[in-house]
Amino acid sequence: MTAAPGRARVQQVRERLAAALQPAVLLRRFGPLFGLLLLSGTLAVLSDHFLRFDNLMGVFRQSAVNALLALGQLAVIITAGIDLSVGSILGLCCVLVAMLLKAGVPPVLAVAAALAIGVLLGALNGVLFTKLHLPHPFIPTLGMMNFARGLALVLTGGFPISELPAGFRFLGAGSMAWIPAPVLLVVVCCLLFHIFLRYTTYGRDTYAIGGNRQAALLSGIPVDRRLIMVYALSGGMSALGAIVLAGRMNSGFPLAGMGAELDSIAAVIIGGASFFGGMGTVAGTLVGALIMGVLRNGLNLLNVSASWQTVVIGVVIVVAVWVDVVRQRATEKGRAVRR
Amino acid sequence: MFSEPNRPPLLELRRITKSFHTVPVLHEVDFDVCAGEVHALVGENGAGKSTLMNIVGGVYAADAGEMLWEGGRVAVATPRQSQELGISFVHQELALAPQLSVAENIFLGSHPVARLRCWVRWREMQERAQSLLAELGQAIDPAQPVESLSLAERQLVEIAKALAARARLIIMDEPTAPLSEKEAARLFSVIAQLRGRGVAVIYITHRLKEIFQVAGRVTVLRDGRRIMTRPVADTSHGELVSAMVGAEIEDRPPPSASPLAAAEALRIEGWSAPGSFRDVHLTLRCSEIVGLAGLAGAGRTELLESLFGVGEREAGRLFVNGQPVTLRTPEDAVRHGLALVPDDRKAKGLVLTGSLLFNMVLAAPRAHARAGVFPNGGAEKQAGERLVETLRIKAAGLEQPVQHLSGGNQQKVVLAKWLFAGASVFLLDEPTRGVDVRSKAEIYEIIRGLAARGAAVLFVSSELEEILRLADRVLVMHRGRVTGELARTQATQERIMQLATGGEN
Repeated sequence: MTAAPGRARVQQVRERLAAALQPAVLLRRFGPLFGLLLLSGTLAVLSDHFLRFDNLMGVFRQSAVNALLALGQLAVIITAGIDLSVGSILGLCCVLVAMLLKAGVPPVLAVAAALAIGVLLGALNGVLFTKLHLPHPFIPTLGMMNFARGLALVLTGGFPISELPAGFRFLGAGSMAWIPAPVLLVVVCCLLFHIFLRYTTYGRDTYAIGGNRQAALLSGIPVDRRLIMVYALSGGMSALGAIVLAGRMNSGFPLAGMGAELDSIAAVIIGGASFFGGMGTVAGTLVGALIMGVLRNGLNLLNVSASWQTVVIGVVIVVAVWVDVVRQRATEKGRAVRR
Repeated sequence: MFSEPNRPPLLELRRITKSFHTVPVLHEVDFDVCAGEVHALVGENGAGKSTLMNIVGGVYAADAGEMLWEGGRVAVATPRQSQELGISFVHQELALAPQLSVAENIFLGSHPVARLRCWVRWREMQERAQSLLAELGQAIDPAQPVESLSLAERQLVEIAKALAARARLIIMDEPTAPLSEKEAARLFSVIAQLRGRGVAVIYITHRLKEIFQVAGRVTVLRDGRRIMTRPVADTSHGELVSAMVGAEIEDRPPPSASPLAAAEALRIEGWSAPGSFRDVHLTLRCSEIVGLAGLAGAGRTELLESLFGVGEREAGRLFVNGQPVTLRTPEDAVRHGLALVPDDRKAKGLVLTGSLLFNMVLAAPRAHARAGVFPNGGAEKQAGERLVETLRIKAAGLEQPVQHLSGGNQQKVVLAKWLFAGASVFLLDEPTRGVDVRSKAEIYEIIRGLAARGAAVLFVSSELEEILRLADRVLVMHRGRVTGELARTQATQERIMQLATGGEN
């Protein structure tokens, strides 16, 4: 009798392990990762340049901005929303930070100001969506997408602002122990987002709102405040992306981040999040961003033109989601048993 | 009385057997229904009713057994083939397009068409819809969009739609679950019309009382087996219940507490909202269960939700534990210890893709959180496991998504959410809607347990029997006003109906 609790514990762990190792569960959890490994393996065979250290670091550096935007986008998509303005907020912040630096503002302050503007515009998205009772976040963020991009063009007259101070460029172009600074930044952000989404009450509210907004509201969750927070977060990540991009390109250009909103959405969806909300992980999203980066890099190495790359990425997006749908249907059928 | 011995039944199922993977769901079930007959099908959730009907509807294929239509063997492999035979479903979750008109819905998929088979004859459609509805004795304007109709009217549109598709057998799955007693009576008269036209009806329900009003025969399924088939005249409510559960459930009389001495938990004065309810006064005491009776549309749901900070409110004052408070949002209400179990648990009560535990902690995310931000998973789990045990929730574990639980267990999870949050005033809207007999009895136990531990309970129910069984005190609403208050000893079905329909005091 004394050994029973211990044995029960072992049994429990064993059962949990068995449940976690089911093919369907594995596919759900690691499907995107399998895809990334398969893709990388294929490229390693097709090109001997692919696996070189400097090439891989280049891929990571190239993927960093998309990964940052995708993290913000992930939080939004978990609430069953969408943020179309991330690319434009990135563009505007990119221009703003460059102008501030040119005006002699110290880099730390310029960065802080850009982040504040990003958070503010993101929060405005959230306020417009919740307080004006607009039918879908598509509307306010579509408005913001045009508003911010237009403002970036107005402020610069359409011309890039180049030659930024070296101190500022570290986040975009610098390295620490051979590892590019933006890659480190992405790692840190991923950890923070993971903790935020999985281990805080705020993160749990985020999933609840996406799972059933009405039920969340009637359970006393301050739905509007949480949504504003999530959109503000996404705006902040856009600003962070802008700082990395401006540093890497050594300029603030008003067309920075054109179409980036769609890349970030693609990364989140390829990473296994559901457009209907309530589902999605940081790990999946990171893998999604890497799949897009590796794919672009691989196609470059194989001398595929940029136009064809876009075609391939279109196919990958649809196939990735389709695989997910097929898998979900299969598990649904298995569950019909209990009806 | 209904079956003519010389003619074969319209539909006959013989020894239907079905397993999903290796789990047997139906075992050699026989069933038949004749033209002009209403055959009730009852059983607890999971007894196999839905699976059996899905086989008739061509959604699933039986593993063994045969299906006969007017005495001839038929194979129904798809829903389309089932429809072509003349079988129609009136679903629990109605399958209408809300933005389209009544007429368009009635002829959805079978528009009267002219040349080229693509011109819709609008006028003819309108007229035929009108005459169909008139035959059912219903005055519904066929040009109206369906979204402007009540749930009861939508159901009638579904029945008209079945008739338009020349249905000879209509399967109704819990049609009265969302209806008030008056609307249910209207449905029964429509069912009588159908019988007169020679249409066969299979009637699935959890409300056993109705069977004696509408059905000719009744079949009980339990654990995938047919337990009995009888003319309703030869059976009783008690016999049906024991056939369904396999043993007698004892229906304990409620404890006769004397709540008048207890402290006041919630009070409203002059509570009004435009278009929903007017000048409502109400006091709810600790340890007291108050039933709120009335017809659908009397403003009961709106009243309950307004107490919880939902919707518009025009005037009135609210006191919690004697203190005046303003509840602007559900968040405020939860902070003051209020709990709402909404009328539609799937749409408003649960995150269906979330696990049991996820749903239980929804209203109290900070109950076991360090620094108010980082939840303590272990403590939450322990509390969750205790609730699963005390509420007797049947599930594979705390991590199982709630979407595949039975209605009764889902409802218990919604209750568990508020127990987890430590609420002290419970507002329950139709707490046993769409729940099987056994879970119903268990939910009554839970509610009585809440009151016994000092909670105040205000519940809305459209089932008079439920009101009489559970309530210490009954309030009756009619058209947005409280028209009467009855002590337990005064409350009878007749008295409540009189007040609910606007009769004199």
